[in-house]
Amino acid sequence: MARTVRRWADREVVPHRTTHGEDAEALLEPAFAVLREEVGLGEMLHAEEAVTDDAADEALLWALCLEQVGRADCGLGLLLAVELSLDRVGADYGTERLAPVLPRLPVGDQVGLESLGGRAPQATARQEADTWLVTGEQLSPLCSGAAARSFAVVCAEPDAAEPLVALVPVQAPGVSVGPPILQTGLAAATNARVSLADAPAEGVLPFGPRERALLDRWLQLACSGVCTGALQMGLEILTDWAESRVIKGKGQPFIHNPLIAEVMAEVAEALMVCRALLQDLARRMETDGGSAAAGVAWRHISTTVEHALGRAMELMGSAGYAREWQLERYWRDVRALRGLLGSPTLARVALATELFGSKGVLA
Amino acid sequence: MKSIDQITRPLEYLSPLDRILGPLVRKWADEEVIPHRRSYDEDWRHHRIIEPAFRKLMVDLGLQRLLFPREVGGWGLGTSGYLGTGAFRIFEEVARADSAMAVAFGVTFWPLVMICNEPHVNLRLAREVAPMFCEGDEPCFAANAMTEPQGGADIENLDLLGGSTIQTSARLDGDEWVINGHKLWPTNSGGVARLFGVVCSTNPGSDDPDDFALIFVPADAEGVTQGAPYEKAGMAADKNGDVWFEDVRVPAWYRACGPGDDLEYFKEVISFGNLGSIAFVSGVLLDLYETLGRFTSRVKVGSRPLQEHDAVAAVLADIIRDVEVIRITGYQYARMLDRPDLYGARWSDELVAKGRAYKAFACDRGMEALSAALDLMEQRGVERDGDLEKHWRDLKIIQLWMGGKQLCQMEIARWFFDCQTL
Repeated sequence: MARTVRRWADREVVPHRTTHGEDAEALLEPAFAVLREEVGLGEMLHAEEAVTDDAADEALLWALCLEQVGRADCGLGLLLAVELSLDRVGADYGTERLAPVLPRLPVGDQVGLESLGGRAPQATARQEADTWLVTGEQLSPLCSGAAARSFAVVCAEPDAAEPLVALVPVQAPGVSVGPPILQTGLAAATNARVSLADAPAEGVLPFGPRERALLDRWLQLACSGVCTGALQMGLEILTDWAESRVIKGKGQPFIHNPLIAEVMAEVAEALMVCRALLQDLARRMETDGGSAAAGVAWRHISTTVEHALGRAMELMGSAGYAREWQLERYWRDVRALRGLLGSPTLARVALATELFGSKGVLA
Repeated sequence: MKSIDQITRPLEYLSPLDRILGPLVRKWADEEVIPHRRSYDEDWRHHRIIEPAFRKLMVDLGLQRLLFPREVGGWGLGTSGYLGTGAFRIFEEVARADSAMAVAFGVTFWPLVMICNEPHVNLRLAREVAPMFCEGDEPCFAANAMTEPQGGADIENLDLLGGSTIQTSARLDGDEWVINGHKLWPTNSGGVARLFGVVCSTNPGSDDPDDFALIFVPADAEGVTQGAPYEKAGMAADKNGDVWFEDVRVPAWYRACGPGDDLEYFKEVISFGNLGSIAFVSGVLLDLYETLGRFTSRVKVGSRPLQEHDAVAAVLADIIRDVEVIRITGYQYARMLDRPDLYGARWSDELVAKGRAYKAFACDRGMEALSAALDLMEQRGVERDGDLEKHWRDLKIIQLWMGGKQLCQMEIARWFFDCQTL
């Protein structure tokens, strides 16, 4: 499957980047439609039965697919990551529990996700007769630009011990979506400010620590795959540049210069480490330490990839900075992904609670 | 929080310009740039929003006259004893608002260094080009045309290659130079510059210092063609493009300093490039400090503002530590350029190598500080309205330019360790 996704990237995205750049409408949205419908990732995502018998195999399959999507475009990778993570939470509820309350779980629609790991919910929900009404000011759901059809909103409910997750359609009364926010990268997954004023939800479900951890874990796995793919493409671009450029004074391709070669090896080394970490995480996803491992892997991979792409840009000089060579786009996209998934410092403080029982460290 | 003026500068050797021009440029930045800079990225091609701010800085405040000798209508900074420290403060204040504007503004003086600075003032040539800067009512930019297709950093790699890879040729025909060549990426190209300082060889392939030439070429000279600006990761206020010189003729006396001296004093251009780079980083970090301080005191996690969490405070401390060191280092280098009696000529291998070291340190630490700040700001950090992600994108090119990090490393190692074969 990963090889198929790679062929999709090399056919639908990579050859057209120079012409269309980051134009979502001309390039990224049509390519995403092909990925979902013709390649079959949409069907795989929402399959009623598990794709493989082994949960670890399934996580690995998704990690490798996300890597190839990220190699093509990180914004498309994020769209898929959000959808995959929500789907995994949905699957965990089980059909019997899920179906009555969320009869129209959006298959194939872009979902904005209002949630940041470990933080108090920014929205509140209250029940009026049979309807749940959701309120929140200036929320910033992931992937909430013009393409989002509904929002999965994590809400506090005053009478409940645990938060809830509510699915709010974008057409619901009380929903207002601002214009797309200008951001560092991820052109295919633009964000917007979203305000909800007693917006009726299609349904709500409990969203306790188990669901929270599951969502974060899958999002971190998926985005780790996206970042690893970005670095893979970064190394391909760098190699192409180093093979085709000549140091005029010495008449040799850059790739044979010892200093250049050492930095290229550093970038390749980073990719190898990220791939190993990603695959290790996939195998540990459903173990007891899966959540901690996902956070650690995500922080390590995203930091490493940003640094390695920066090193590649340093080698390529102005070519690395020009949009024409595409490398800078992956560097911006990975930085944007890092921001969207939260502060590593705060995440480490939260991890200390899990690892050492540290108390009140984020109070 | 403390004000940016409490971030240390060596007060004992600030330039007399500092007290007058510093507040003026800061006011300009606060009023003319900072309220509009979030729209600059989309203005990269036409500069419709950006140009009026340049006009205020360069024409209304008169700063495009800064470097020229007083005899030709300038302010005489190049012949003063405080060129380095004076320039550092101004560049820093501009970069605090927008580092690309600082680059475009600062690089205007880059080729002019060759003819406006003591002890190698070329008064005839300065007088020839001064009117477009000192008498006009339009912003006037200059560009240093160095980089060429394939192996761009070779040009700056003077020690090793001695100009032998320069393919842009200058042939003397009677009392005129005839210039042919293709340059890439000069700051202020893309249709902006009215004057080019063109790095040429009078004998392509030669590493004889006498064959290295810096020749001034008006942008409207016949045979000069500027391509459209490139689209980049950032740096919208600084346009870069291709420039072609086809049988361009200029008077023979448009050569900056003459055989041997052109190469010698061109190293001073590198020194000022290093100085400017540090000032640009420092200015950005001043803005980072203000922006991050506002954010971390306003946004709460749990019951406390972000900055009151110990782990966050530790990150803030590391950031401001680097801001302090970069600013002090930058001013120290500026002072070293101002006092050749103590530190040697501005074009010496020692000052070039040390400038490279400070520049590399400032750029690397500056990028790390910005990245750490963006991490703290989470989603807000990657939004344009958060005011930091643009700095992060912009600053990257300052880390990459002038031969990139690797050339910096080699020149530093060569000088300090006497490496013989690098």
